[in-house]
Amino acid sequence: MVGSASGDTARDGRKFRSAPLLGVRGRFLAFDAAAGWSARCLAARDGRKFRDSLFGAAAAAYQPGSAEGYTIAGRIKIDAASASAKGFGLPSKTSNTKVILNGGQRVTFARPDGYFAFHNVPAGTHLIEVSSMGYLFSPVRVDISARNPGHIQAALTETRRVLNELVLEPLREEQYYEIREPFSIMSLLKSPMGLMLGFMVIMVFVMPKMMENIDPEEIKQAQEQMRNSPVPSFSGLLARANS
Amino acid sequence: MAPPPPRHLLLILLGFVAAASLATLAAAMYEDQVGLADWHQKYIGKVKHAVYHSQKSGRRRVVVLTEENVIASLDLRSGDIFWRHVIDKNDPVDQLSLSLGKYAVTLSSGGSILRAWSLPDGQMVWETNLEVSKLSKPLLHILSNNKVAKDNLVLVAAGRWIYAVSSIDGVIAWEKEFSLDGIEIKQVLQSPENDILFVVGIAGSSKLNLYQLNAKTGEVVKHIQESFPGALCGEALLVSRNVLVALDETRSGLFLIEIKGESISYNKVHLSDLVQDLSGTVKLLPLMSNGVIALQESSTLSLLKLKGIDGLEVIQSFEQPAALSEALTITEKMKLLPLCTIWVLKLNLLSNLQVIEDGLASILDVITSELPVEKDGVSVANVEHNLFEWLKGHVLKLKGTLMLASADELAAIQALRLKSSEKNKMTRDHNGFRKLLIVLTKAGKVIALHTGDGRIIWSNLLPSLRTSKFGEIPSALGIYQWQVPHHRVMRENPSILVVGRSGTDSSAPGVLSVLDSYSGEELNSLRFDHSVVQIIPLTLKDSSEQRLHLIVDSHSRAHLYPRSPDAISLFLHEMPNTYFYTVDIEKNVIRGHSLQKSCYLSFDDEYCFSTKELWSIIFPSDAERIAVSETQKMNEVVHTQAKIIADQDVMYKYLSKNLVFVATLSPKATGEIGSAAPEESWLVAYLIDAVTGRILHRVTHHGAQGPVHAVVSENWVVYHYFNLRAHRFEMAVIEIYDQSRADNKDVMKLILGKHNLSAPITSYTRPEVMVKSQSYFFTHSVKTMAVTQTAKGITSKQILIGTIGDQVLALDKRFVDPRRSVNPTQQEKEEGLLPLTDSLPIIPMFYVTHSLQVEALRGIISIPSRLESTTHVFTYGVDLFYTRLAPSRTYDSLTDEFSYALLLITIAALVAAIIFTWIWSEKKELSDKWR
Repeated sequence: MVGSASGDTARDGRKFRSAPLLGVRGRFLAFDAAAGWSARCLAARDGRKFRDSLFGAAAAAYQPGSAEGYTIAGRIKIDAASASAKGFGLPSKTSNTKVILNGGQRVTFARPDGYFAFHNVPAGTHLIEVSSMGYLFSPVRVDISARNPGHIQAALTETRRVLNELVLEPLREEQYYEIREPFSIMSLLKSPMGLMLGFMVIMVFVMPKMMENIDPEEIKQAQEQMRNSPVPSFSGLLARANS
Repeated sequence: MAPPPPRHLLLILLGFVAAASLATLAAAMYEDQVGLADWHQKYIGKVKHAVYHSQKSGRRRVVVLTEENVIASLDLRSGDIFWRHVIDKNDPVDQLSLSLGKYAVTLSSGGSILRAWSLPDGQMVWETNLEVSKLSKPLLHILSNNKVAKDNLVLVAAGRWIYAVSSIDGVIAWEKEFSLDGIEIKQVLQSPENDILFVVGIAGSSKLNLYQLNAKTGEVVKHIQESFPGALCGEALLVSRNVLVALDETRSGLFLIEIKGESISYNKVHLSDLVQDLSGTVKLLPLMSNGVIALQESSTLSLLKLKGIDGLEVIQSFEQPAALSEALTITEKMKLLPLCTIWVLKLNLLSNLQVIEDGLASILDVITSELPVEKDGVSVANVEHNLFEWLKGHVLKLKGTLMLASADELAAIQALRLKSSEKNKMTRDHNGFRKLLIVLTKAGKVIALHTGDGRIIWSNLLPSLRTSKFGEIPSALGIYQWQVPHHRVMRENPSILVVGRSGTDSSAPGVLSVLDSYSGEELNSLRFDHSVVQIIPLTLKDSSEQRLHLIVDSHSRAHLYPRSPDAISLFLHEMPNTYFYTVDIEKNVIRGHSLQKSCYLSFDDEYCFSTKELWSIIFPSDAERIAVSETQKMNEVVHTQAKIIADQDVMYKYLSKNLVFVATLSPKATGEIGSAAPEESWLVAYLIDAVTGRILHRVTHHGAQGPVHAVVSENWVVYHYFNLRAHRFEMAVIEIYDQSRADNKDVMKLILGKHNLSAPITSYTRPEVMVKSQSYFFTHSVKTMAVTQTAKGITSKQILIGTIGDQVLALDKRFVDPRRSVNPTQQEKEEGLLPLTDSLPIIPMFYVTHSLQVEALRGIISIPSRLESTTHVFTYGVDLFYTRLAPSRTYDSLTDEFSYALLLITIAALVAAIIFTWIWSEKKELSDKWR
């Protein structure tokens, strides 16, 4: 494990001093300033965890006296194919995808490949939000442990799903417009005018049929009843209310 | 007598009605409706730095950096925005440069963040974090034509560090820290051969250090140190390839320093020899023109030409240059152009951008004004369309709704809709949809926009708010209604009041100007002899319909405006009932005041009143700090004072204009998320009566953290905060009801007058209130909140939430009802109560801004239109967005969508059916008679 991590470093020949994260075969590691050593230490102790957790975080002991900082690095994954297929006129690119730390404390942009990083983040519990037009992202809770340097946990706050790797995918696509229903006879009938027509048709054709079905004697009986029952009077109501 | 209708027939009818009502529930818009009632304008703000970029083919572009922290690529000819990014306020962009003709490189956050943006589309290509000390002024220098490698190196120098970053992928190629004590890098130069870098640093105050570095590796090749007789103030400019101009400590002399290979020679020039009557601080302005420097004093700008190392010569002086702010960096081969051309070009560009775009990106305050009444005699309707045209349009629309229209016809329909000149007229309309939005910008400019299409009707940079010769920078404070004519003075134009300060300090004397709403002319302007701390518009109006305003100064004296005997007599009558409150965030106190006659300082000034403190609420600073205080909008109208709930019961709303919502946070909770533990942070919400200072309700949320945003309307408060325990944002609601009137339920009592509903409501009676509250999770961070306002307050309310993604979400108040329960009873369901959910839904169709963003969103205001169902919503940030909103659909008017053709067809069908059935029945009767 250790060997492979440092091997990648050597092969790319890049320095990692506060450099951006580096993609390594679909995963990524991120080192912070002067931290190659401690990160490797961490990797040596728990190499597997380091590689799988995808958070490379290490103390930045670069500036004496400054607070210890960690790097939060991750990736935004938007399925471009599905977005362009739907075609709401929204760019399928992540060109204006913003990543927001702690409700606006820091804002960064996603790179073309979706990677982003926050440097010099103090230990504690943080919140990452992603704003991208056309998609709803769940905010992510990121815990950076102070006692156990480099140990980072992430979980989606909306679904409470724990993330093994900080790959943020949209919860859903957002459709800002209602889609025009194709013309159907039902929608025409449902409109007030349609209802008017429908009611008229019922009155004209169904009512006489119904009247035929009702027994003439029954009608007479009903009329009798109507005549006999007293009309509810207002004074009666008042009397009841007063009692 | 008619027989009772059969029951199942009624059921069918009910079913139809139910289906019809369900069909009207959705309130979203269709994509082809975009632009019908709304408009969106993109701005970038006042340009402070610009870099030209021209490709051999294609359009000329300029990349600009503005005071609103926006970087944008603009078309040089038309000013169109190719792309634009609004960088967060916490991350100020200091430097901008181009690299390889492919990237725009920005340096922000005091030199610690370096970003590269792709020039054609604005995509961020890479971002690199650099470790620099925050205090120094960072420099960005892009090496030109590095023969060593294919990519250019981007040099960032700040303090003692210098970094070289590859411009292709942002990887740091090399870095160098100069170990010399107290050195600050002032300049990075490049030798003509491109492989040697000269780094000029000043150590202490008088030691000039010159380093020569290998551009490829960053190794120090040579180091020269030279001491100067006088101290340097630190401002230095590179004038030509090897001459450096530095100001000395007293800012009265210039050092001309020539760097010749390995040696430094210098010469001192006194400024007084060059420029007469120096005043104020002298500054050097960077000008990328060979051998010329710009020298700025308080009132003039001088251009000096270098004559070797021996001296300088004044070419030209400008009095009060208009576009002085920042000069442009011209990377093209424009150095050959005469200087005046550059100057003209610069002014051209700035005027192009500024005239249109500078102010509207920095709006402070917004009010609306009615448009003039349509004059009799000119009937616009006749001119516009004849019946045939009208019908043709509607037939087209019908085709559209029936999905029978071809593509051409669809385009024609869309054009017809957008064209509808009705909405852009300069006269008042029946529904109150056409209004003027009058905005006040940070620079003291007042601009009127038409709600129909957002065009600028007039704009006026107020003379009283313009920077004066004395160097004081006035600041605009707010804009108010001054005169809204009704009845008698109907023929007069309405006017508005703009209040400002003549300085940035809060004790600076105030300025006032009154503007005509229709033309923007300044009718009156006044300079106060007192300061402005608080402006209280009163509900009173004098005989000329001028609204009375109280202006409180820093000595807590209140001054009445307008100064007319009529106003004072009106006000004296109402004075005993006038109270106001102040929130002192620094001292953590809320105070209530009343007014007293006579000003103890100037007895003869009858328009001045002294104030008396009536009550105060002092929050313990170690446990609570005031985070937000909010009241309802002054012009809010409430329609019903009672709420009928499911079981035929009535709850009376506690409606008081004096209700103040205050939220306090524990000191730890005021910081950023992640800085406090849940145990040490809490939020306390108060409902306070502003007249008596009585706390009506108090509730503590443990584990809550700021920032808090709140909105108050009718008898409820909705506030947004962060819940540390759940680690989610929360929205809480408090509704307050009046218990003392709760037994006014009996109809008989109401009829016989045995109720206390008409008893005057006063703040001095001890209210018996009942409070209902509830909190819900909310997904997003919130930037600002507002609530919809309608003319009569009948329409249900929507909460307008400006989210962190710069969108505006309209959340129905029903979702934040404290009475929502897990299993609502049948009656409650009928009432429209929703079942309880732990989080508030985010329905994308309820985004008011649909697929647009209002970059750097700062404010949302809602203004009622004359049509009860509809409200104007105006949203501002760097961009502007306006739309009309109908929170419960337009129930009181036919929408534009309404198809008249369909109505005609229906009527025709009905008539045909009637005739048909009539003939049919005649025939039947005839045949019956024959039988």
